[in-house]
Amino acid sequence: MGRNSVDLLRGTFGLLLLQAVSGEPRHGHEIIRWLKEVTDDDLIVEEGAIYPALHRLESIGALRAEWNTTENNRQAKYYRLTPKGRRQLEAERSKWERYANTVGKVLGASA
Amino acid sequence: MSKRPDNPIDREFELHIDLEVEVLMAQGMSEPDARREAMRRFGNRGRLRRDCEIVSTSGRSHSFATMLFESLASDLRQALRSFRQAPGFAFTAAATLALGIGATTTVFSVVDTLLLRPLPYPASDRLVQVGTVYPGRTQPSSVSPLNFFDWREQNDAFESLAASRLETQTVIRDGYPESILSAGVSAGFFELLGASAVQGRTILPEDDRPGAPRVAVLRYRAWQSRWGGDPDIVGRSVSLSGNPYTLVGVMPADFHPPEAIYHGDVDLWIPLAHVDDDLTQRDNGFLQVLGRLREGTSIEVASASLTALQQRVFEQEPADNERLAELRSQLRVGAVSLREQTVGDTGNTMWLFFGAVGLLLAIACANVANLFLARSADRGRELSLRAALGATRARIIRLLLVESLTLALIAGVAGVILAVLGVRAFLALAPPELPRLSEVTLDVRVLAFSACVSVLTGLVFGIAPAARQANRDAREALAEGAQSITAGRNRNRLRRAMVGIEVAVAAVLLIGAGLLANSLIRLTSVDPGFEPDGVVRMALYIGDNYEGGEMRAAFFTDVVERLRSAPGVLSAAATTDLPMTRNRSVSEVTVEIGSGTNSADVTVHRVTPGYFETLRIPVIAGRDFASADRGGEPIAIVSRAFAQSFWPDQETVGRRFKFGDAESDAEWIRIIAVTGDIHQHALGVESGPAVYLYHERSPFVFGNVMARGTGPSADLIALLRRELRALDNRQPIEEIGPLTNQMSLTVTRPRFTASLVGSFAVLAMIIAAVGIYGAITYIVRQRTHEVGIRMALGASGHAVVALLMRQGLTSVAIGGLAGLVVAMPLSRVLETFVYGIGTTDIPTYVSVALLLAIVSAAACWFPAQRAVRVDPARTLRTE
Repeated sequence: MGRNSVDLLRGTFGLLLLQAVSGEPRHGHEIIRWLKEVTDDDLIVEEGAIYPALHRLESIGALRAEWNTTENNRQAKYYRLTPKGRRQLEAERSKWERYANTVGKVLGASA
Repeated sequence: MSKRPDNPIDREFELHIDLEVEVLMAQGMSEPDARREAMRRFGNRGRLRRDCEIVSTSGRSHSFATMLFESLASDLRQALRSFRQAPGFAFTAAATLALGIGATTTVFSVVDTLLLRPLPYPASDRLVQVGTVYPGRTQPSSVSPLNFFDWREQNDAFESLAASRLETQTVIRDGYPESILSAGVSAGFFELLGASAVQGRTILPEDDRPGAPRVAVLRYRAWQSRWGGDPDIVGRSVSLSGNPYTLVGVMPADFHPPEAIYHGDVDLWIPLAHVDDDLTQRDNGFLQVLGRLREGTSIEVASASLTALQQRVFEQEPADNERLAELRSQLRVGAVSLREQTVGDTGNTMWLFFGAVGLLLAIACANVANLFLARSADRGRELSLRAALGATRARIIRLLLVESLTLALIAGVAGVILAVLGVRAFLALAPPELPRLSEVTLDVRVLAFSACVSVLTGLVFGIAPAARQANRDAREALAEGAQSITAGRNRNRLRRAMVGIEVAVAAVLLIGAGLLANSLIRLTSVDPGFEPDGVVRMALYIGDNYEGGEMRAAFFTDVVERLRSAPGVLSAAATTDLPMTRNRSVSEVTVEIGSGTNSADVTVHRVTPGYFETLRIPVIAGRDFASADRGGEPIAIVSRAFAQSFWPDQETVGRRFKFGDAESDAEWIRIIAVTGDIHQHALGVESGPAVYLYHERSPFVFGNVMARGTGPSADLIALLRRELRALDNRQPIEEIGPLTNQMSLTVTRPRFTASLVGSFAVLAMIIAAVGIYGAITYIVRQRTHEVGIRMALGASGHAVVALLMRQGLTSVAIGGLAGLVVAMPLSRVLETFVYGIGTTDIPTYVSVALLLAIVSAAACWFPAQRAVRVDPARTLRTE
């Protein structure tokens, strides 16, 4: 966690998780590793906090989970995106991009 | 679904940490360090697990039906978990409701039996008691045999009519004669009540004829207790008062003889034709008549038609004298519903109790709702998290309702257990004259009632917190951290007003209970004027075996002589009127005062020698009766009250009185002694002047033989039975037992009233205490911020506690004072129930005030104390 670490804006965590499993199914630890990797360790997350979020996404049907064996022959719960989750990911992504765009415009303008 | 829900979550967490440990160790950390770091990065597992559980129950699922079932099950688990997290809260709420439900169920089971349920006979709404209504009366009374026969044969308003006549029979059991209460009933009596025998048969028309073979039907309990449940009972013969009868049947255990005519005591039935009375009388009524109305015939129509029928009969058979003709012309025939006749005016009292207990339950619900509101502030974080994670408002409300219903059902089960005990206590304490007591049970109906009450209470106290939750904006709540509650001043005022009212109600009830309990204590410590301990009494009716005064007097003299010389007996005597019975015979007496006379009413008792010694009634002057008093001048012993009322502070022995007024020509009776006064009728009733006559000069046929002994009363009872049998083995005993039983009977009613009001009062106080506790808890929660600031600014814990307590106790004090003031005039209704104290007895009022003050202070102190234990920094951060 570097000096420039980012506090997550509320409501965006779900979006990141959906993105994290949009490719192959991943289990919780893999998701955390992946998030750290792609953000260069800039994201502050209490690692355990992804689980309530994952469970919630599962309970609303955006993710489907199943127990599977890891490379090291352990039982892990893998999360994958459902069609519903994919639609949600797209919707949230475009919302986020509009938001970031708008904020960027304001901050780019001279006052 | 078979796995415990916590397991997969824990396994998921374990794996995560293990993998992280491996990563960290690969970076060169030692294993313990790596594990510590992995755990730190992971965060608080307990909280995360809880959050996982919450969110997985908050979402929408796929199939509606499975969702409903699964999410209800998980709501239930959630509810139980939240109770485990706050056991004090859950216990207080459940216990309050359990008390309320238990009390309501208890009273309901009595109300249901007495007032709601039909009598335990088929189509019992058509059952009536029919009788002759004498001029100036409204209630039907007994019917003469010839009238009954005419009604039975000629009426067209009733499907059937049946008559009953109570009699006492003597049966011999184990060689000892015993009295058994029996009834002669006309054929069709049991059919009218829709009852048939469980063994054998009932009484048939051919049994109910003069000269028919004598048959008898047993009540179930008599079959069990007196014949040991003998399976071959049918066909056995039994001697009833010297006549051989064949037992032809046993009634079932659930057959309740109609209390309106039997008061539940009859044990045996014989055909009416075999009763001891002359059944050819027209104008002497002694039969209790029951009728079953024809379908669609009203009581009024039936009464009118019987009255018309009766007058026709009288016309065909004119009276032989004018007085009788006059009386007959005024007679009507009336019918009263058997149920009304059975329950009488107990109904109103029971409804009153039911209303009172319902009110208490409502207050209990309000208090628990308050507790829930106070608690929902505690749970703000959890509820906001659910809302933020997408649980709909309906979903959260449902969770809260499931919680309150679960609590209510737990309370309901506990309440039913309490009610079982409550009904048992009620039956043990209830005076026997209360109708239909033997039918009172906790059955499916009552259980259904408690289930409904529980669910209803759950909804009632669950709605308020749920509704409040619905009004909150989830996002706003989350931002706030959910601890702050907008202080609704009006709501707080209402809350405090309610505390005040609850305390007032509790105060009134406590004062009533205090007065009654105080009276009861005084009543039971009254000196009755004699010593009942160690005395056994035996009631005998000797009219069947002994004719004429001389024989009867000789019998009692002999019994007493035998007993007196028996080993272990200190003294013995016989009397007509046992102390502590309502029997009394009152006569007017006239005494000589100087040259004139003076008259008054006195109670008259007839006793054998040894009466005063046996009961340890002090003889103040003069001497006891002796056998030599049989002849010579008539003599009597009088009580001190007698002496005081005619010759205050003067010598009484040697003076004379006579029965009747001054003109009476009765003989003068010489007073030979003055004795102490005793409470003749009941402990709470002062007895007036009394006269004791020597039994050999005024013999009696119904008497109580008493003996004072040294050993245990069981030995003395056996001895009395033995001696009586040795003297006359045909003579049955009506009743036998320690005299102290008689004493406790006279306090049955006061004890019952005091227990009833006492339980109500205790209940009201507990409920009020919970109310105070809930309200203060709530107020404290609202003011957490303020308390935090005060403490941060240096206020001491004591000062803050005092401030909070002052808030709560103000409403308590106002309510309590109001209660005490209201109780003063209200407690006057207890005037006839209190004994030895006034209804404005100051010590009672002071004790009640003190008790309420202590309980209320405790109920305030606990939540207030908790408020100041909270870390000020934390309370500030919550805003």
